[in-house]
Amino acid sequence: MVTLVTSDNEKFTADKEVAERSVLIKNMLEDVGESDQPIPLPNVSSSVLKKVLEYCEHHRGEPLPAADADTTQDDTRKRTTDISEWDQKFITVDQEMLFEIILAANYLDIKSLLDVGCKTVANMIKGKTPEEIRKLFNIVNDFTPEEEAQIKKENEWAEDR
Amino acid sequence: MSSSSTQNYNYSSDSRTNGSDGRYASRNHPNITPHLLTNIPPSDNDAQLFLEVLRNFTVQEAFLQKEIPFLEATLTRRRAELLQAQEVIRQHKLALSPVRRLPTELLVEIFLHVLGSEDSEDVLELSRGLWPLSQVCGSWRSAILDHTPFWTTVYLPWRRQYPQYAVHILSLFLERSRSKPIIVDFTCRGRGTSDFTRAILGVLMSQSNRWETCRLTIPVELLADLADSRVVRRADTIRHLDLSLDLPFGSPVAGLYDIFAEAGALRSIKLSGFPNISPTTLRLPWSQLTRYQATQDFPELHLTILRLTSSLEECSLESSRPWHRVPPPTDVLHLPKLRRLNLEGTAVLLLQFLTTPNLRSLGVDNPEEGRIQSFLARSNCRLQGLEIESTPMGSDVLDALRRTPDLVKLVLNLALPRNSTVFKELLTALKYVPDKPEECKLLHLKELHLSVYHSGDGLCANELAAMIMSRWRFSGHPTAQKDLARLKCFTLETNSYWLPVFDTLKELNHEGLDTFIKLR
Repeated sequence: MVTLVTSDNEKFTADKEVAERSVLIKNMLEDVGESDQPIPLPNVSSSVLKKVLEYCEHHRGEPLPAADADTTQDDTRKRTTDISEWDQKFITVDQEMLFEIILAANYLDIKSLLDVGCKTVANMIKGKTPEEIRKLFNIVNDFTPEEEAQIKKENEWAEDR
Repeated sequence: MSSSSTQNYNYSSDSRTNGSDGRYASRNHPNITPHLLTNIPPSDNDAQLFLEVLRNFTVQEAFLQKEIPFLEATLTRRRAELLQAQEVIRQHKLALSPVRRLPTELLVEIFLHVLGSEDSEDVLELSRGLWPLSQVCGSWRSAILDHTPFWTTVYLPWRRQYPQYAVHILSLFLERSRSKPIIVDFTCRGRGTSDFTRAILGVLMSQSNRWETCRLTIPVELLADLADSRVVRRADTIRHLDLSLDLPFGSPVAGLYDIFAEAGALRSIKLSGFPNISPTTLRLPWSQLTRYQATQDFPELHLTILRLTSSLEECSLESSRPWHRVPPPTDVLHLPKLRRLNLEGTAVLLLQFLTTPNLRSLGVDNPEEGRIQSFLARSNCRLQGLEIESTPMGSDVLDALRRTPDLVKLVLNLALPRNSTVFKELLTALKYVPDKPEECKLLHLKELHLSVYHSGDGLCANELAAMIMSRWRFSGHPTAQKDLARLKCFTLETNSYWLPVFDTLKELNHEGLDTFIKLR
């Protein structure tokens, strides 16, 4: 078993196999060797780690992506936004938690969870106008005057069909 | 008539006592209702009580008249405070919103998913793809503009009419790809190309020094524009060309088109829509190609090109009309580097004129009797993959397998003639019998894909299942373990109805054999 300590100082215990779905934790465990020392996760709160461990537990034993999978796919444009049924239910959370899970998956280096999160956000974005996206994610329109001018021109082009 | 006595009055339940400021003015008071139904004055006793009630309620009225505006003002103030608190919460939540903490690489990852899953990424469609994403906020715009790979796929599907600013939009798109190699995918159909189409192609051609992959579907007029361009001829980064000519049926291609003759990096070419491809119609750097895929009318013209492409490693040819223009050659063409060959339609006739000693994968459509065997014997190659369409299935399939002992993957698309035993013979040849391992063909086979069209019980489903089992469940036989590779994948597509033996085969999925059965 592995003990994980969250940013709000809560302790979680998890099977090594489950915790090691995180490449970060796996590397840390390799570094400390056989030790009962708790692993601090200062960038993850307890509520988020609870969700992350739920995901890792469900996907326990599944093959992990190859280490170089990122680099080979980096610039290829075609990706799908298909999400399995369980993952879809799992990721049906409020927006704040969704982004926290994405950030945690990125920090903990859990590629499959990061994918689920990014695909979910991508599905929320698809087909929306910039204004709708801003409203959806509480994003402020903070363009510089130069950017505004360029966007105005792009929109004039868009109106001419 | 005197009024009723005091003790008969009902008292209200309000028992609050009077306070000096009138806050608790209401208290027990007599029931006045009977007195309101008559004009008789109350008794002295009642009058005393009524006066006391009157005094009390007058004080209460004054208090309430003062209290209500105070409470109203308080409520208004509280409502304003609530709105203010909600706004502060919203602002602070906004400031702390985790979407703001997404690093650029995660934003890019999300955008890749958005773009990759949309049906079309037409460069000129400003309401889709990159354009709306780049108009959300400063950080999103920077992430998109700074990630040049987003701007390197220039997809321009066919349009009946181009928007007025098409050239500006395309130019801006290309500008954002900076100096990166680009993938160009441009389609223009129909006759009578407009000035706009030419202008669009002109913008693309001006960047041909950055083309890495180029997919063009164009009419012959635009092919001429390409051929006239010196810049295009020298496109030195292009590696793959997919050129499809949109030509009216029956029209020949006249003249010589010199397109990428000096494109030093061009290695892969796919040509379609040309009725005739020959060195006298297209000048391309044939000798440096390693991959070539072409569809044209006559098979003999393929041979003319193959004589120029001695470096080919992968080749896929298709033709639809019979060999008739020139007499068959007397020599055999040697393609020493060819590893994959696929011949469809009448192009299969080319098999008799080729020698490919390093071929590893072959796909052929309905070869004439004995053609594959003579080709394999002449080439003396060690095929690992074989795909044969044999409709109707002849004994040549089995003969070919005798010459391919190293096969790892076999794909057969078969139509079984009525009352033919040839498919059953194939199953017998593929079945592994531990006591007679020498009788089993294709000991290294790991993938078997069968598409079988049959009538009656020609499928021999039980024999088929027994053959698959024999190549999967053989762990008890030491001889088998040494000689036989275990099957990893089996697919069957057939016009049968569902048979119980299919259930047995599908159960092998649980044991680890990828089994897929599809009924047509």
